[in-house]
Amino acid sequence: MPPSATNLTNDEQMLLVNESLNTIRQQTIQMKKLLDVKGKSMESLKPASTLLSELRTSNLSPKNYYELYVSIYDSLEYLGNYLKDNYPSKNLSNLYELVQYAGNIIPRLYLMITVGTVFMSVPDAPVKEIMKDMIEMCRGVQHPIRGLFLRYYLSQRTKNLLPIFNDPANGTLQDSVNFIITNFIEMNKLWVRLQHQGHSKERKKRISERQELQILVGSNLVRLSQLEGVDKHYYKETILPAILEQIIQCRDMIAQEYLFDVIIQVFPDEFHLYTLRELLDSTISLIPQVSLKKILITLLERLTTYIDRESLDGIQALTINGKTDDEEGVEGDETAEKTHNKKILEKAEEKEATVTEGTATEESKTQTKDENIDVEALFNIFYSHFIKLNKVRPDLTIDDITALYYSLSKLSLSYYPDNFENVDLIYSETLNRYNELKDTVESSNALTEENLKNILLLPLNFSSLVSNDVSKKEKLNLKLLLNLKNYQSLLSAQSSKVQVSISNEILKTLLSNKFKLENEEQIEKVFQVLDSIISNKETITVAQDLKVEEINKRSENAGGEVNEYPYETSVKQENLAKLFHLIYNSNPIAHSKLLSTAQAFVSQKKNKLTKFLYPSLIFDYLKLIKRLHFRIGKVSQKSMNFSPELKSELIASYELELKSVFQKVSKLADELYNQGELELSLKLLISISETSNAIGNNGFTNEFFIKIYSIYEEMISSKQQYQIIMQLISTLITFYKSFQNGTNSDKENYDLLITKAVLYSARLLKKPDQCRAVFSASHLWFQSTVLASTDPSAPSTDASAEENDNKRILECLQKSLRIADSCIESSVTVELFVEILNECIYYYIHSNFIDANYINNLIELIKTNLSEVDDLPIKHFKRTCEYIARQKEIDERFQLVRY
Amino acid sequence: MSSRKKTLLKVIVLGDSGVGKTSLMQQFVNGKFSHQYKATIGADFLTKELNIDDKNVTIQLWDTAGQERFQSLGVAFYRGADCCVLVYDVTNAKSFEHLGFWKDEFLIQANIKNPNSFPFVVLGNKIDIDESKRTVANKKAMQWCEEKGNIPYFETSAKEAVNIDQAFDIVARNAFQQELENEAEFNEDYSDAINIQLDGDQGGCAC
Repeated sequence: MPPSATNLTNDEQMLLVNESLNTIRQQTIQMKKLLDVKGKSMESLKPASTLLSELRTSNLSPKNYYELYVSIYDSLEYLGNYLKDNYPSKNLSNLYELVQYAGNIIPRLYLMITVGTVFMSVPDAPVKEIMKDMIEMCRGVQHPIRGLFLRYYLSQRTKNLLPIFNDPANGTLQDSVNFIITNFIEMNKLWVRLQHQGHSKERKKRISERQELQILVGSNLVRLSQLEGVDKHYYKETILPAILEQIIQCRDMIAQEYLFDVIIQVFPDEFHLYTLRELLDSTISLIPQVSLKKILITLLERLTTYIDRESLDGIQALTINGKTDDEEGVEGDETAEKTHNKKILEKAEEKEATVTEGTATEESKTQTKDENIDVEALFNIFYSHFIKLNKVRPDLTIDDITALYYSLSKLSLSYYPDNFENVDLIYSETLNRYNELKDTVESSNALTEENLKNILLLPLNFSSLVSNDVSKKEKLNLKLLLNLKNYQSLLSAQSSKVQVSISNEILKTLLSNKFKLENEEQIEKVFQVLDSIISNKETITVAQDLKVEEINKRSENAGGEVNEYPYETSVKQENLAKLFHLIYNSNPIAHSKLLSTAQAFVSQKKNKLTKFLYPSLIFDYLKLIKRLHFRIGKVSQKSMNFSPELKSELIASYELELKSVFQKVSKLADELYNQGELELSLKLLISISETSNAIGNNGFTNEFFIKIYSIYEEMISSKQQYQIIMQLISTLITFYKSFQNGTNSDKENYDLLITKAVLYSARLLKKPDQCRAVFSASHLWFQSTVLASTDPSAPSTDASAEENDNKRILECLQKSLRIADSCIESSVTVELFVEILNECIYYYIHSNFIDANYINNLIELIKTNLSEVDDLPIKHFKRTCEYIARQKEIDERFQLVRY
Repeated sequence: MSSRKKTLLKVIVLGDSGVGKTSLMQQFVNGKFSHQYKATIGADFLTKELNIDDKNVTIQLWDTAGQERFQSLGVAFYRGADCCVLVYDVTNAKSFEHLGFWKDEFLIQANIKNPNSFPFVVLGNKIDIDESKRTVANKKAMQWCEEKGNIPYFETSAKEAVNIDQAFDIVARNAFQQELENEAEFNEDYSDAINIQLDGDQGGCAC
């Protein structure tokens, strides 16, 4: 007979299986029938033996063989139950002998076990001897698959019959343990031997067969873990050494990996904590082909989930107490303490209990948090083991190592959420090992990269790791990040791609959580971590990847302007820009320092990305200026209980800071200007001037506007200029009040500023732009009139000044009419006329310096030109006329207007 | 039928790893609960003698490994099952979502002839855990069971022995019903091989 399983295809095997199942069914019916006939029960052994013969086959794969086994198990279960209920127990001894006369070894031993286990179950049976006899007899089958299933049957049938009390006559717990371990050793030998039989080309098939069979071998370890009366001491002294010895001795990769997995899974966590050193040490003796990574991570993960399960139980213990005793429930901490004390007491009791007394029935009482040092030393035991591995297993790859360290850091954070040194140690060691091994093939593979990423994202995933609470996911634990001294070095050692992806994750989380950055330390750490984005490493990588042509193509697509950065970059930089908004300190001076610190990180990079970042920084500075200004106002209030000295000191310091912040923003705008970002810098200066105007600093406002004009003069594109001049005019209009309230020189300065604005308006390149800018600029002189009528506190202007202003307005309107008239296209001219008409109507409503005649003339002028123009101006004109009609209803003066 | 011929009911317990299958069975069979977590590998059964309407039955509860890697020999032991218990953990939404998978898997692998009438029972375990941790609402589970053909549903705690006996009583009864049907079918198939007369002679001589 060939030792390995069959060469038949699965379909062919299925035919055999079905045939056998039929035979088994028929013989089972036969057996049951005979069992029911009084006095014929012995004859039932014949069909039983016949059906068992089906298990003699060598033609089936383990899975198919298992089909027969399951079916036969049911039949034998029936037989066993029948014998137990109906067979005189005094005769079982004879029957046990009798069935062993069966001709073939497989049926013989299955029947022996069936009767033997029934025999064991009756009172006063020589349990120990039966066990010994059965286990010895099973040696008779050395065919791996058949032997494994036979011994599995032995294990299943004896399950609830093994002695657990120390009754020397009928067997002791030790006998049971020996019985199972012997069976385990024999099964493992059969299982390993299968690997070395048959042709070498069938190696793959044998591996898959062995993997199918593994469960049979592992079931012995399950039995051991189910034995009542085994505590961790007994496990450590007796069980673990025996099974480890066999596992190490067999020197078989599949067996070693699988059986370690099983040990870790089937024995309780408490046992593992108690035997951690032994378990770890034994892994060193495994053959090199075994994946230590797999084994150690299984162990680490099991122990990590243990603490989670424990904390869940802890919560429950607390709530249960709270329910039964409300008073205790109020003081939660005390309750917890009491529970804890109770646990310690119970542990002490447990310690006294010995194996021989059997803590069996007390299993549920076994307390969870161990009194021994291992929970405390858990991290160190693993860590020193990993260090040891460096020496004894130099063949471990960087992929293995990083995966192990990631698992260890998860364990550490679960057990000791406040201990950051452990994690820092891992970072440092990971970095060392990474540097040593970074030139190996594995260093750049996806797995290694993933592991390193996971390690680096720990401060982000920390909460979800520790509490297992999904809702807490993705919150940055800044405390952890700040305490990791080696974080930055490990991060910097990564490829740009990894760095950028980590930085982005962290940035995203910071923003979505609206995390406040309140001190220098936090800002430094965060900006360091984000360095890869600030330095724009990604674009550099992208640029290296893309061909030059493609980059050029991109810039062409961006509307002719040279756009160095792809859209994605600006999105990412936008996120980075938002980061400045997270900076906050209740003390405005401290806040200012924080902003400067952040600014330094960005400025020192000297890359052109500042154009994405400075605007938001400038706006944060401007916000700060308003805060400082508000503070000064508040401190000056009499109600504040400051001494005069302190008051003036505070005000002085705030004013000094305010001034320095203005200098900073002005410098930032300059920098942008120097980078060629004229329009951006100009627009920012407008915002700056608005702020300085809002806090009433006309000097600054004036200076900023002079700066604005000088930049404006350099700008070439007319379209930009028009938009900017309109913005300038509208900004200047808002400044009117503060300048008129100011000194004489303020008034003069303002006059210069607005005159200049009209001058620029008239100098625009395109006529329509000129025209519109000029009539818009006319409003610059109209403020006094408006303010006088709406705001009683407005500066009273003397009549001559007002007359002067009105004259300027009319001048502007005249000029714009002239410009409109000089346009070549009549449609454009008429459109501009209609717009000027609207301006005139506005002035007519709000003041008196324009009379109805002026308007009527303009309307006539438009009408005469109307025939030659297209739709748009006509429509606009009609709407204007409708407006006049409505004004007639509410304003008598409009009766004079004709259209 | 001879009274000494005890009916054997085969019940398969399925569900994700860690939902408490082993604990439920231990509580039902031995009245015990252990805090210690031991993963189940392969398949293993516990038996318990029960009395259903004055009939003695033996219920054979098959505990299974929730983790696939521990089920290397396949699931031939599903065959001949009389009832299937689907377990999930009320604090673990995934384990609830997987119930459908386990149900279908069972029906296919066990080669059930009438999938629509085969008895299932669903257990939502770990209700002892604080309500705030619960992620699967009672209503949601009830609805699922209703949609799948009015599967009986129980919320249980293996730890505090809540609803265990009630749940397994229904399991046993439904399994018993199924077993009677199976037997009738079996007897039909092999009617000529069985002489029912013989059974009667032996009646009443069991102790």
